[in-house]
Amino acid sequence: MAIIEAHGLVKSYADVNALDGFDLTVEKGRIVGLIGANGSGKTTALNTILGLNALDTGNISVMGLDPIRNRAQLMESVAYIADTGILPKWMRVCDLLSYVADVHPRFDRSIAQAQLANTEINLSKRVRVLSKGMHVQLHLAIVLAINAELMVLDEPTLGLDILYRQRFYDAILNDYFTEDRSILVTTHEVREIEHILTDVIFIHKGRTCLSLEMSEIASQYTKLTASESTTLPAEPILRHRTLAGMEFIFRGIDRSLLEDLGKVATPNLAELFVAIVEGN
Amino acid sequence: MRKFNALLMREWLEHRNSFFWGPVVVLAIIVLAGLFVSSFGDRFTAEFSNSLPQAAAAEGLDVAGSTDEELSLKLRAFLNGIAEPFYWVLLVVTFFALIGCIHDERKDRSVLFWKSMPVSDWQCVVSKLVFIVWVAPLFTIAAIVLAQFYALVIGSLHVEDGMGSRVWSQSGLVLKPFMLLVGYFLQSLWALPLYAWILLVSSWAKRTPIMWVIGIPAGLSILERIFFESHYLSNAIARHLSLRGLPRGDGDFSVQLSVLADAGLWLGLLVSAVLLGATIYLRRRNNEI
Repeated sequence: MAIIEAHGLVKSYADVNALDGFDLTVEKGRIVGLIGANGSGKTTALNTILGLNALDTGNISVMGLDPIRNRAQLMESVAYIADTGILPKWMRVCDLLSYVADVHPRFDRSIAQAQLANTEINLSKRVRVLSKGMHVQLHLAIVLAINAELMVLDEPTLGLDILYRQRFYDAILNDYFTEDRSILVTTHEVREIEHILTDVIFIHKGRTCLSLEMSEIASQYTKLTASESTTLPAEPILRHRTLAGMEFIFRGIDRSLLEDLGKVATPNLAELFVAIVEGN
Repeated sequence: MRKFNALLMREWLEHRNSFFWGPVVVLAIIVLAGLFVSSFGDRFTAEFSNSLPQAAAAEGLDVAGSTDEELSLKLRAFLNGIAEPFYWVLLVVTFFALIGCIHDERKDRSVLFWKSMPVSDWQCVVSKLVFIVWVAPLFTIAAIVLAQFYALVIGSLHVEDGMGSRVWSQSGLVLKPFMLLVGYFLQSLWALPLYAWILLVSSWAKRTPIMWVIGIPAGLSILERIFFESHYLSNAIARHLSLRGLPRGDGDFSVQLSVLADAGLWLGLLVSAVLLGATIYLRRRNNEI
């Protein structure tokens, strides 16, 4: 059974369709990147998965539960960082750990404290006085100490400097991820997570416009860099002028047809995202 | 149970400044005032009247000249006067704690963190209500008991010689903490619809919840007056705002318990349940502001 199963999700706010028939499946042992522009419905999609939003229509099941009806039960097996800087600022770090330890049956305080021992965070300090980076480290230490089957991260590194970002994803990969667990992550810094993903989903105007395993990208999409006047064997889904010449992105083309025309490569996620979204 | 205790502990950490230090400050002021009276009061009164019985008379006790019944009534008024400032502080602290408790976590977006924990919305809302209305005021009641005891000590030192023991025996101090607890609890049930209303606004208002807490009932009362020429709403609010002397722990238990026979109490509890249900629904639906 898939960890997350969502079909035809629709959610409107006033006159905006935040989700307009969104589909998503996350299997066990996958790291899925949900990629979309600002306002594409990413956060609404995640909030729906986490039971924070009610749907207008659509079917969703997370770990076999309806997230709206069973949010509290679901949160025993889902860990999430909805945003940066959301820990209660008036609380002391040690009191926060005690609270989580008391309400969360799958939280292991010793793991969190071992994580914090590697940082400069003092347990007797209030969250308010922590720097932005320390705040994220604390949140991450809490989340990593939860023995959850699913971790959901929404723009977890927003506003952080580059050193923290790298460490953040290293910690997720080294200290959390196993083949029994799944991660769903959104970001618009695509480059940062490209190398850790196993699957990618593009969302645009509240709809899923691509859902693919990372390993399938190379077999399905090809990037050709050539001169503008090149005669193309097929219509590309995107033409894009760069300093090196014209870039063309093709879907489902035999690479051998392109090899004589210029430089052939696999598009990266950012290029693919632009191609798919512009191509729509 | 462990989870609910953790939720209460969470509320305690958030609100301890006001609920703990509020009564402590009032207590400190009363203790200082009492010390002032006992060290300088005699000298002042002595200068004016040269005798202690008259000093006690000036305080209105006149122990020697009162029957047991009169003395008991006077002492009751005296002890109620001691309790009064504590209740005013508690009222203000409770009001602001209720108004902020859901609104603040939406405003600083920590609601997103709280909702990532396996705690349901009803557990969260109920724990806030229970802590603010029934747990935190215990500090105030304890402080009142201490202050009343202290006031009797000071008072009995200042009455006519040999009359101190009458002050103690007529004060009803032994039963007082009990009466205060029962009185406070009954009063809290009586005022519960108002508390639940504040909580509802806290979960709903996007900004300045205090304006809506007061504005909506005031507006509805005015509309009722204009269109129906009746005063049901404003009368009901005024009735549940009045403390009915309950928190003082006056009289005997039968007087206090008579509130249970008032249909207004039960109607109020029904309204409270509806308002709390709406609050839980909104806590589930609304996230950060």
